[in-house]
Amino acid sequence: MAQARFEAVAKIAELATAEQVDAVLVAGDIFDKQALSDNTLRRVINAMSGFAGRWVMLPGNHDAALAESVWTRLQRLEVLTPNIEVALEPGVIEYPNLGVAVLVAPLTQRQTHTDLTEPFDGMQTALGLVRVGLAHGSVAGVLPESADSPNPIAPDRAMTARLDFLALGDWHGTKQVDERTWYSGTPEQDRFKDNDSGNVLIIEIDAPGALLRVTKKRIGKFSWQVRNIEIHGSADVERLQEDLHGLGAGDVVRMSVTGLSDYATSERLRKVIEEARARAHVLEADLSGLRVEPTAADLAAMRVDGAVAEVVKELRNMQTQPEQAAKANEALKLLFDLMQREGTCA
Amino acid sequence: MRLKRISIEQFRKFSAYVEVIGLEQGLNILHGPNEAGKSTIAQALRTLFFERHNTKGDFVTAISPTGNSDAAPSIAADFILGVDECNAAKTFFQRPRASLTIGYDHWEGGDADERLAERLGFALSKKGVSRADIHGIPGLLWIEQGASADFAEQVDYAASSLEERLKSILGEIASTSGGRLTAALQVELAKMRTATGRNTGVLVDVEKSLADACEERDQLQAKADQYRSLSDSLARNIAERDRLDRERPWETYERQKRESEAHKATLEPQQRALEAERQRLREIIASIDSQHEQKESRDKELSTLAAQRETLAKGTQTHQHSVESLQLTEQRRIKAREALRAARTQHQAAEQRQQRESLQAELERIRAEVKRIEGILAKASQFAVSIGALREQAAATKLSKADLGKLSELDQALRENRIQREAIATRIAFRLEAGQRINADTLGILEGSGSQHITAPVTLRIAGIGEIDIAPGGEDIARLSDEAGRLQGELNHLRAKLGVADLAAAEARHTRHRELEQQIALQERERDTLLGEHGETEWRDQLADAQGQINDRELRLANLPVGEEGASVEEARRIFEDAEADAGTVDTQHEAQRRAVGESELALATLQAHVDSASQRLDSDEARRLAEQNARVFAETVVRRDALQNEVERAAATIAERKPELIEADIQRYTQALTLVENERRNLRDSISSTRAKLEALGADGLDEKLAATSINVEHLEKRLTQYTLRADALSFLKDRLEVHQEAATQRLYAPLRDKLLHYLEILFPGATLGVKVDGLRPTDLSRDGSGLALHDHSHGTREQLGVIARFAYADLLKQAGQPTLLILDDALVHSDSDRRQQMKRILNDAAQRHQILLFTCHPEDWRDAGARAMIDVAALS
Repeated sequence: MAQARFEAVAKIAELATAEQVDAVLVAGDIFDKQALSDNTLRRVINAMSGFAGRWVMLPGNHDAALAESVWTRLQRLEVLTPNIEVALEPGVIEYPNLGVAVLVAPLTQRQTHTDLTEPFDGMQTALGLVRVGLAHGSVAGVLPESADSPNPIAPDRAMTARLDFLALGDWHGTKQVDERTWYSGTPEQDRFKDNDSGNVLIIEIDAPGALLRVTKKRIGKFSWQVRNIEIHGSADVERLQEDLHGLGAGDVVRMSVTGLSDYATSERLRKVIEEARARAHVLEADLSGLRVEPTAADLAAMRVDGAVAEVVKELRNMQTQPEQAAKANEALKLLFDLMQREGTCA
Repeated sequence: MRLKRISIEQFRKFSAYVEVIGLEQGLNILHGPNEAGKSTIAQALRTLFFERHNTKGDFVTAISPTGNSDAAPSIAADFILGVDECNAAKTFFQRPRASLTIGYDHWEGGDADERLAERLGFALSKKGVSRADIHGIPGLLWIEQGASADFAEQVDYAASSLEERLKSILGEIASTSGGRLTAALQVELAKMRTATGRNTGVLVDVEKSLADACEERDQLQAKADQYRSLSDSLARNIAERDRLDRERPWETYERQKRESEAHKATLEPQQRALEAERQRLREIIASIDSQHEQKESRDKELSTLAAQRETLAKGTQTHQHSVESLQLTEQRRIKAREALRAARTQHQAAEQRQQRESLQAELERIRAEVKRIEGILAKASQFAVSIGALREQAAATKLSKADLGKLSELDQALRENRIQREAIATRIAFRLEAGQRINADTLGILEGSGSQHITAPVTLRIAGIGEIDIAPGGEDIARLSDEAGRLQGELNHLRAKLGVADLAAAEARHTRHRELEQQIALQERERDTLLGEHGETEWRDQLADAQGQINDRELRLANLPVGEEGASVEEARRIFEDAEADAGTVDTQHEAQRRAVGESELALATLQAHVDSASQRLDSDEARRLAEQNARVFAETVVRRDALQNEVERAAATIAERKPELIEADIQRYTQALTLVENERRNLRDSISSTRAKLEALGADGLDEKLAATSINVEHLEKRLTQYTLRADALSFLKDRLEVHQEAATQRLYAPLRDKLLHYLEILFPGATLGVKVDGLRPTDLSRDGSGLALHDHSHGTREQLGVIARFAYADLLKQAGQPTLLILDDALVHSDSDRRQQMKRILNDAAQRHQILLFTCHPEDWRDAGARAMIDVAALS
């Protein structure tokens, strides 16, 4: 997964070069941790070398500009090239040749409870420069509760600070807050819960005050998916098989299977999942919610009789009791597997 | 199955052909005495069924009547299986052959052997003689002699055949796959759990890996926490340092300190002046103290002087008294000495008087002694004269005892010799006429009458008549005469020598001598008594000594002056001693007084000297003048002191108004603050640099990356552990439940067997409440009226009965399943008492309703009434 992230940075550089953008703004959390190895730091910077233009990088909550941080370390390592600007202090960075002034609100601690973009309102920039805000935090009332930082940002900041564009980081999915405020989302997804991750945004502004053109570009290598599957017969398994058919090396899937099946169907299901697992990058399948209910034919085929039949009956009763269902399911599967094996051996 | 006929030839007891016929359905009793061949028939049946026809080896000796393989034992049986008439026949060793006919089917040789085994439910030995463990159902139902009590093994041997044949009535004995499944579950479970429920194998591996991963994660987490807290601390320190650098608080402190110091400087001259005055005041006070001390000292000395003067006056007076007293004592002392001298003279005179008296008394005593000694000595010399005379007489009469003895001896010998001679001498008796005489030579003249002994030849001359020679007879006369002559010679010699006439004279002289000696001894004793133990010489020495003493005393007496009469010595001595004591007392008193006077004289002189010197020093005009001057100076100094004191207090108050101590405290305070702020800066600087160093070291390690990796690993392992645990729990649960259900199923499946057993047991133990436990196909426990007991713990007799019953039960089951049954009881119930036998008869009769039973016994009368259909006398067969 780490490798994928280096690749994502390289892809951004490649895209920036291809699109001939003026600058790449990174709205925080370039690094997801502070105590990374020197090697990791170097690799990220190396991956940026594909774009020789201006990079403006903002410390976010994961890579805050602390007294000792990835940034101080990068400085010590002396790997930052002149085209990489790290906004360690709040203020305005003007790039007259690019026609843009970047108002930055870096996080100098992991969490703040004040809106760091508030000073944007009073920041003056040279006339004729496009005012672009660069900040990291959560816009109150826009993001779901689960947003991962308490660093608050006023929802109308773009307006109050007369920004042409406010680039925000922290939220992992691509999200528009208002017409001049966007979360680009993380370019390489690293968890299941995100929505619409793996993108970068290309922002085009012709002049200060002009309307934006926003283009979403996919960068992410992996598609993270959570699937809840219900099985109620072999038809469902067939459908699932078709569904999983499209899985490839870029897919990271977590599957939770519930429902009811006879033994043969459950066998078929397992087979389908195993096949898909071989194709996907990762496929996690939780079958504990699937009740295997052997049919009379199953039982006959496996010569389930006598005591074994009694046990099967008992287990099927247990399946209906939530606290025992998991054990009963497992026991039934084991039993059938064993019987199958013994049967073929016999 | 029903046996109809058995034929046997060349088989053990039966060399010749025998045939058992008339076997009926139901109970058949084959009886006969011991050795009649009952067991041979039973064995023949076994051999026919169990052995392959071409079996060889040891078997030969077992069944051949001769013990050799030259025989051709052959056995054949007619029987009915179901509705089919059957015949089986086998010949062994010589011409081995086998044939089997069932209904219209017929087999020969090995086929016949195998077909027969298959139909009756046993197996054939692959090689060699058949064994009990393959005898299957017949092995169980055909009870060998004495084997009825034990049937556990037989049941085991027959188990698979029974299960197969009883399937139609018992169903599958166990679940088809139950046993295998349990085993497989056990194998799977053993990979994760031990028999005691402890985790093992892969489960333990995962647990261990998880624990390791958790530990690694926790360690990394701790490091990461440390990293964070260090970086927080660094941020705080940097912020603090920056704040200090910005605010520069030390500048304020320095300025304030400088101001305070300036303030302090303006106060200093006044303080110095005050200090100088204080110093002067201290000096004046010291001077006052010193003067005061001086005056006090003088006053004290003056009062001492006055006291000394008084002491001196008193002392002088006392001294005067002492001197007077001494003079009086002196006079008394002279008197005492005179009295002492007089007493001493008196005492000496009295002593000399007493000495003279004593000397005179002594002289008298010694003189008396001299007289006594002289008396003794005179008596002693008288004794000496007397004794000397006696000694002369004694010497004159001295005759030695030896000489006297010799004389006596000789005299005696002579007398004896005469007697001897007279005895042997010739005796002449004569009576002569008056006047007539005979000269008888040596004998003298014989006259008158008398007799003579003639010891030597004698010639008698008778005047006138002639001579008559008489010669005494024998030579002894001569010898004795000679002897007498010799003795007489010796005697004469001795008499001459001793100067005695005869023995009597000698003895008289001897007596006289002894008397004299006695007198001498007497007188000597008297003299010795007189002299005592001292000799005479000593007496003379004593005498001389006494006389010397007399001279001495007389001389001493002469030297003593003759004094006048006076007091006695004792009186004089008493007076003297009194005078001496008086003089001593006075002397002592005098000495003490003299010394006291001397000492007081000296003390007075010393005191006088003190008083003189002190008077000079203190009491002189000069001294008084000085004292007055001092008093004046003292008063002046006190006045000066009071003035200066006021001055000092006033100046001090002026300075105090300006609070110099607060100014000093301010300076201290600012100095401290400066030090503190400096320390703070230095600490911050040190802390920042050391924290940076630590963070750099920790950061370069990629701590968070590692932490993320281990956390993922932990999650992964936790998931795996959950899966494995679930699997283990499920396996364990499955296994347990399967075992429980199998056990229950087994118990259910064997219910028919239990029913059959109970059917017979109720006949055997009428009226009892019975229960039977069955394990597999085997009854294990029998309970009667609630108390259970394992089968093998019953008495042998009961076990025997139970064994037979069990076989009947199996036979019933087999019958019910349409299988052939034939029961053979070879002496099977020999240990049953008559009561039980009665019950067993009922049982036999009951079983015989369904099965053919061959009962071999030597007591047919015991079983005749057991419902027997046929009684076959085996002894009658051959």
